Amino acid sequence: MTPYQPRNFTLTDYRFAGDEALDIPPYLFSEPAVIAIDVALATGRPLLVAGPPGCGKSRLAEAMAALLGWNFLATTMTSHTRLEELTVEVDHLRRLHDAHCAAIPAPLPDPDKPPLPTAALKPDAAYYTPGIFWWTFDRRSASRRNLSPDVAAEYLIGLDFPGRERAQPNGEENTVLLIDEIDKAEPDLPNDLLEPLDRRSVRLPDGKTLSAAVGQELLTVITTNRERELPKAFLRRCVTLVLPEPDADGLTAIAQAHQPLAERARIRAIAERIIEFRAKVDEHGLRPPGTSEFLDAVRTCEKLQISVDGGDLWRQIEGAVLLKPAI
Amino acid sequence: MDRPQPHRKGEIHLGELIEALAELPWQEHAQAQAIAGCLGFGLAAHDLGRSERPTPAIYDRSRPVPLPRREAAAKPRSGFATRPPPRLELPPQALTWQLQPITPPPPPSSTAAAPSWIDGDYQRLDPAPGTPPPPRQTLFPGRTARGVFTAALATLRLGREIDVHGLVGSVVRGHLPRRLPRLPAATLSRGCQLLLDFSDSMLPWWADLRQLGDQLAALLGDERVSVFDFESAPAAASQWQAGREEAMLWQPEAGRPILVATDFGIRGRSHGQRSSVDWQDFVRLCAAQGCPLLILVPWSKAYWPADLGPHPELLHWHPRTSAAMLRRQLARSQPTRR
Repeated sequence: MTPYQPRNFTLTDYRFAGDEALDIPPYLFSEPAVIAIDVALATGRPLLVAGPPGCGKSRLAEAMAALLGWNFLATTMTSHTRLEELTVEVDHLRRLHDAHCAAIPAPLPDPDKPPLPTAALKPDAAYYTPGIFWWTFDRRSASRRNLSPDVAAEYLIGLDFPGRERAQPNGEENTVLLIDEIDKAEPDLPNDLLEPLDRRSVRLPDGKTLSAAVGQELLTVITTNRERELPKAFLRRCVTLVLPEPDADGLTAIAQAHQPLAERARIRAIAERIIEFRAKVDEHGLRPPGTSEFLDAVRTCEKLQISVDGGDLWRQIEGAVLLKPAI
Repeated sequence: MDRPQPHRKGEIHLGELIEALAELPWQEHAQAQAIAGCLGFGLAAHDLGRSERPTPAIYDRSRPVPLPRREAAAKPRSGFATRPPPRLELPPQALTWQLQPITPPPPPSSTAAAPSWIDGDYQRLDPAPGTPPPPRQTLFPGRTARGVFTAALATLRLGREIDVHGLVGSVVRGHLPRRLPRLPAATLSRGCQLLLDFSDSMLPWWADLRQLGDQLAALLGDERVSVFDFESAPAAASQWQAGREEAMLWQPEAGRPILVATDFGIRGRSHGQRSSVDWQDFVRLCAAQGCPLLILVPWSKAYWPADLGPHPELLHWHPRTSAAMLRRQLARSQPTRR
């Protein structure tokens, strides 16, 4: 069987080696994941990744940003997340404060002291707070809150990029955007995201629209643990990928990529115990241990040189890392 | 100057599948299937709109499938020696019999011959093992359920957005508020308690009750829906949980919405029924805890009891009930609560 070779990125042996300098761990891709990412890049659609907690959904986005050499931006949804927070918000409080200061009459100049700077209300755009979509579509205007370079310099406005920026050829600003745990947001929020995701643009409070540049590449990765059903209209606009829990071979390969010096027999034994636990906890309706918990166990056993022999120490590891009791 | 705005892409369509298949370097049939699947086409497509597991909190009251009437004789397993059946001892002499055959009565001339199944044994037609049940029509269909539940169960909390108009108004009047006024935001984060009436009069809707629990869990998440069931008195609702020996009794949680599905034991009887004391006590208990109370009734409004007071919101549990109707009803009846 010929493995699928993606057209839109280069990947050797379905394996990203990681980047120690940037603290990005290695990532092993499955063929369905490679195909789904290639389709998302080819069609320009968001990639919706579903799977149990700890199976590598968010890591996938980070690994892809490093692999493609693109900027990386990430945001995690909460029940309080609103669309404005992701596009643009107006800092009314600061504006009110500035207006209040500007209304105070300036004190009479003291000839013995240098003149005080007069407080003044800034242009409206100076109170915009750019959200993650604005940064993704047009990072230059976001860093200046959409003021002209001169005006931004006058008011000392220059915001830092809220993610990982990478130098790209020809000044390109291609970006991987991770919208993590969308199922934690209010059920209507995914529908609100349709407009910015579809049009690749954000509308500012003054009515102007900021769009991504023609030719700018974007990979939006949206993750869900499937705690909630997502709206059908949203699902029909996304390329979907379901990441299953890896089997014992897959777990062993992942652990070896993360811990190349770890003892293989120990990794294998822990992987087999994980598979055993999964079956057990499913019977009892508990949450099965995920890949990230498996890696924690491998790391702990390697560091403390604990063998998987059912002894007291191993049982402690089981309880603390793998079979977490219901609290 | 604004950049040209990209056109809206809309939903994934067949053209995109064709483009993807033409552009991407697939070599195996399975890879082409995977490309189609992640775009939502073909049998390999993941249905992320469907929950993988049933909602565990609802006690399954469906009746057990009866055993087949005539059990087939157990076939001897191949490869095993079987013991021959014991021989019956027959009497040495055959007995005489004197029964006469009965002649059947002639059929009535005015009617055709009765079909054979009338005289046949009753036979229940169970689906063949492994046959999936036919799809059911839900009382809140998928296209409206999301909106209806959001409208019904949303509560208000203080949002993060500042109430600029309120603040400006305060400043203009010459006094600064002690707290920064913030706009309320609707939320489903409180989830709901779902009380299901599994009494005999609700028997026609038992499957709908289970489906209601599944729909709510899909929208709000399993952790935000607590499901209880009752038979006559809603305040005595309880919940069975894995690992517990006794049922957990229902208690209202202050401010958390309560959704009840019941028919008040109406059974299609005459209009203007009065509710029982149990229901009135239950409503008082919910009101005292400040819990929004919504009651889904599968009968039309004319059958609903009219003596439950202003606190509960009664909703017609019917496919035509829409979110807009519900919002209008809630705005009319209790404009200040939401």
